[in-house]
Amino acid sequence: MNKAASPLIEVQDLQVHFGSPAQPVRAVDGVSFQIAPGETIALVGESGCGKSVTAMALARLVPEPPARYVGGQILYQGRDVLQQDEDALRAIRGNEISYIFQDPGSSLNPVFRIGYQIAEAIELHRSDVPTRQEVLDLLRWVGMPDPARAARAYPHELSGGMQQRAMIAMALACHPRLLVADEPTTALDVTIQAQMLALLTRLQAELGMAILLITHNLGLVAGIAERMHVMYAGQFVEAGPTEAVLRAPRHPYTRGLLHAVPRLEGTRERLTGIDGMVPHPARLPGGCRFHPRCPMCQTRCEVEAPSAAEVDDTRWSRCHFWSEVPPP
Amino acid sequence: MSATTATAPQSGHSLWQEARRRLRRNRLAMACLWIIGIYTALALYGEGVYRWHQWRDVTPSYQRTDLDKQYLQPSYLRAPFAREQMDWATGETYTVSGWQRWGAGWTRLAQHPLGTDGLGRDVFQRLVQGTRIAYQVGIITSLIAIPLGVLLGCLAGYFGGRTDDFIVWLYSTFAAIPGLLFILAIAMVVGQGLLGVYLGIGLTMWVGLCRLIRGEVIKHRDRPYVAAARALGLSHVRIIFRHILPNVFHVVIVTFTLRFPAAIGTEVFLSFLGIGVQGEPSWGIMISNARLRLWHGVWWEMAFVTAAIFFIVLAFNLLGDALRDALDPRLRTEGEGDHE
Amino acid sequence: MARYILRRILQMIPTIFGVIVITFILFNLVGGSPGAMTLGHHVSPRLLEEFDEVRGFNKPLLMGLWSGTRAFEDADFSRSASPWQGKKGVQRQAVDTRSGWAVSFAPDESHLIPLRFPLHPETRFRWSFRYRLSEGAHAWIFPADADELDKDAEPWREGTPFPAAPDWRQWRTMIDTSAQPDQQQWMLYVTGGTLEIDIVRLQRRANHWFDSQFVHYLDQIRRFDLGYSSQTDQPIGQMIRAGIIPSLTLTVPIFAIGLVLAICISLVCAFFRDTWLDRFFVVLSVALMSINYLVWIIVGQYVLAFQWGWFPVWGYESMAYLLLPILIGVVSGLGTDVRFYRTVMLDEMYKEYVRTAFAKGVSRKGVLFKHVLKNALITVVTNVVIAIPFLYTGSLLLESFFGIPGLGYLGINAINSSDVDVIRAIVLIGSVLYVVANLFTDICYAWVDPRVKLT
Ligand SMILES: Nc1ncnc2c1ncn2[C@@H]1O[C@H](COP(=O)(O)OP(=O)(O)O)[C@@H](O)[C@H]1O
Ligand SMILES: [Mg+2]
Repeated sequence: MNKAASPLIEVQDLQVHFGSPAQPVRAVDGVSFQIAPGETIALVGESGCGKSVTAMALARLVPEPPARYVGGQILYQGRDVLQQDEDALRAIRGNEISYIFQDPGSSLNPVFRIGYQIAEAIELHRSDVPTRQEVLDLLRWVGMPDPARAARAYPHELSGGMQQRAMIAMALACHPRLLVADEPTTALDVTIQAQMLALLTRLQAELGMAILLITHNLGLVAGIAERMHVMYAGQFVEAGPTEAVLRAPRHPYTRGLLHAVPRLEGTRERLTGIDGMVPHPARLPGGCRFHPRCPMCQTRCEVEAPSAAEVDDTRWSRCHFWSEVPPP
Repeated sequence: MSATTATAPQSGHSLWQEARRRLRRNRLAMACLWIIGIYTALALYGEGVYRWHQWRDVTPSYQRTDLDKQYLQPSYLRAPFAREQMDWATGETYTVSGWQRWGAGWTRLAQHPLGTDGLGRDVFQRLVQGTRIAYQVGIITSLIAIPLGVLLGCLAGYFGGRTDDFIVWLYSTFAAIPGLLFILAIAMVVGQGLLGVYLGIGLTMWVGLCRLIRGEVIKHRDRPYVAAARALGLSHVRIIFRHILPNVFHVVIVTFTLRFPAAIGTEVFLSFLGIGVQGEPSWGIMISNARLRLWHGVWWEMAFVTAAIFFIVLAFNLLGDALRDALDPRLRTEGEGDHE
Repeated sequence: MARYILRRILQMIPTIFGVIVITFILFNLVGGSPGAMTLGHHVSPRLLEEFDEVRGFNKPLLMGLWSGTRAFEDADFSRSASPWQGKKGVQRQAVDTRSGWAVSFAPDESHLIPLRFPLHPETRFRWSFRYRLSEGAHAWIFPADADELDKDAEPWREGTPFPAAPDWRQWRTMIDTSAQPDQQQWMLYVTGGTLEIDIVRLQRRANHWFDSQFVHYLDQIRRFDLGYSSQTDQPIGQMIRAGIIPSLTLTVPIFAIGLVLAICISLVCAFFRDTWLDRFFVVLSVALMSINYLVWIIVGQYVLAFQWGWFPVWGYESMAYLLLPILIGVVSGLGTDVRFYRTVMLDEMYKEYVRTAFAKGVSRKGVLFKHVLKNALITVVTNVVIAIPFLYTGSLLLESFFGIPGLGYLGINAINSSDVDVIRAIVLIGSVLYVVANLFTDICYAWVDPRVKLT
């Protein structure tokens, strides 16, 4: 779309490893993408394939140690996040790039009142507004029924949906340009999930911010994301406009995801559409990383790692046989 | 990483294998295992020596006093300085060169590698006996505390209700009594000797274990696999001991490893006070003897006893930490902070 | 809140009762004779009996009317004819009873029952026998004095006869309760055959059914009467009151300094986690932990006080005398504390709210000292409150090594001299304090952790 305009954030060949340099756990292994201002991008994939680490890396939030940013660049408005010092990073975090996480219950600090936690975000980055009033405005803005009471409440006194609204209010306190929503609805009831997405789209329209939506639920993606990236074992395996990818996947993994019926078991999803599990990043298979689970696997896949192949000028796939992937 | 929560973790195989793998990789833990192994071998050797002397009905070599060999300092600890010595026969003094003294010391090394104490008894052999007694105390107190704690914990956790109320009452009562004084009081009442030490430590040690086991069993009680076992009509005893216990047994292992050094420490303390072992070279008694000689400048006996206790306690502490991290990180902040 | 506290206080009662029962079982039952524990096993039975009489240890344990007395130790004939050893007309012989032995008394003679000491004049006693009479024999037990026995008056006819069994081989039991409080001596008279006695026992009568050791103990506790030290004859309450202040002057600084140090170090560890500094403190704390407590004291006293003369060696005269014990106490406990608080801090560092705080742009310091510390304080506060009772018991070894006249010193002395009542009092008070501290812990918990509600 407006990709030609300068992107808000541009990630190039990002590599984040855990473990010792001798035996690296390659959680994120050469990921590149960009997000334009106001755009919504989706990141999908099974649990453990590196989505959260990718997202957290955008503001250099993966704690080091244990993590190591081994390579690549994250250009935020032209400057590399990975090269900046702690103060510059803090000026970005919560101000330019904000996060909301999967489980609002444990992501909010249990011993501080909601109002205080939101106020903290405001005070860190904005000195132009009266904090108290702004907190109440924010809470009203995210649709909290009784903002004054919610501000006085401790996290555990609110329901899951209300907690997530408080998280969103906190994340949006400084009108960020990019909101990273890491599985924002996974821990919530199905009825509340829809409300939450509606809220996010409304707020996005009002603020004009970009959203990086992380999910394993392809149903969500279809509604709001313009482009999507499918991630597997630390790499992107397919990328392209959401509609096109969903209609005609060009990677067997994407196709498997589409077939899968995500089932919640605790917080850990398991996909019945694909056999087996995501390999642990310390024990990645050779050749194509997906080949042990791939229904279309050929001998070539076991030895030669595929590179990104252009499908058309908007999308690509990391599969030798992308043209042979059957429609879903 | 698999979703084992819903399926039956029947044998707990994966847990143990995973833990073993993690331990293997932990070099520090392996070193600790080696140290513990060496101490165990020494304790067994000490037991052999003890038994043999008992069977032969002779004074054990570690008790044999030899006034000619009082306060022999291991020569490798001695600075090679020259020294005046007096010939006892003629009353003349003469100078022995430092290297001569040093060399003479080395020849004695095989006899008394750690020197001798004030009665000319071999420090090394006494340390070995101390190891034997420390192990005895650690093992026997565990044999008292573990069955008691596991049994009561399982019963309380599994049956709940009145049984639980009673057992919780019992252990909170025991927990309320100041630990060290309680041990001392039990030891005093039972009378001097190791029996009092065993009972004193054993009867206080089960409390923490019981509480942990009860908590774990409560977690497992409502798991599907237990419901399934119940639906099959298995007896309570079978469910508890064949199905639940293997899944909570790691708590026992970790508790044992962390309590063993504590028991050793308490034994040293009691023996030092003269309540524990009588007439045998326990570490506590050695400290108590060495303490008096320390004031005369005989420091190595103290140093060696300290080192002996230090390494075994250190090894057990580190191993316990490693085990806890490998088996169940949640146990980390529990059952601590109850020292002196 | 008030109702919660009330309910918790009610819940404390069973625990305190449990402690009372355990101390009772420990000192009155398992210990056998507190008198023997205190005075030693070689003092005369009479002294022991007096000791027991004063402290009520000769009453029945739980309830009942009759309890033993040392005046006539329950004789064990399987070893000797002990009270009648060498007495004329009394013989030990093998019989078919459980013990396998009995004593037999020759006919037409009166046999004195030897007592070890004169009986307490105001107490009633009773005799019980397991016996048998040979065919045609008669026997009596009667109150009399061997010196003034007038045989012709046949005084035994006033006493209690041993009933004869239809079959003389059968063993029978007889209990003679006819003795009056002022009676001091008894004799047996046998005629027409022999009397064989398998078991004989003298028991004293309590004032009423509940005149027992346990009730006596409860009553003492009710009156806050801790009894008297058998060592110094001082009231124990007074001794404990005198000991608390020195104990606290030692333990409170140790505890406070240790706590602050440990928390500071653990914060440093959390701040620099997974760096060499953190690892250094971890290794140091495990090493500190593994050095025996005794060694800290002995070597500290020897090196710092004796050799280098930095501190006074022994005594309790001024603040200077406390410095070294405090130093040793802090250092020896530091390892455990640092390890514990570091774990607490690090556990918090891996919570998700920390990630949120970082994502907001909070600095490392802000996260640690605001977000993490406030959460960790929940554990810290509860841990501190529960440790308070241990301050009271003092430090057994430090006090006795450095001659600080606190409760620890008192305790060690009491252990060494087997001063049962003192130990029991210290244990009891310590337990009660612990139970109370538990209640305060729960209240503090609710106070620092908004998630906890007292209901
Ligand atoms: N703190 C960590 N230490 C070690 N490995 C980690 C850590 N965090 C994540 N990983 C590794 O990174 C991989 C990707 O994790 P994540 O990004 O959380 O997956 P997801 O796609 O479910 O969000 C995981 O498989 C895990 O092995
Ligand atoms: Mg994730």
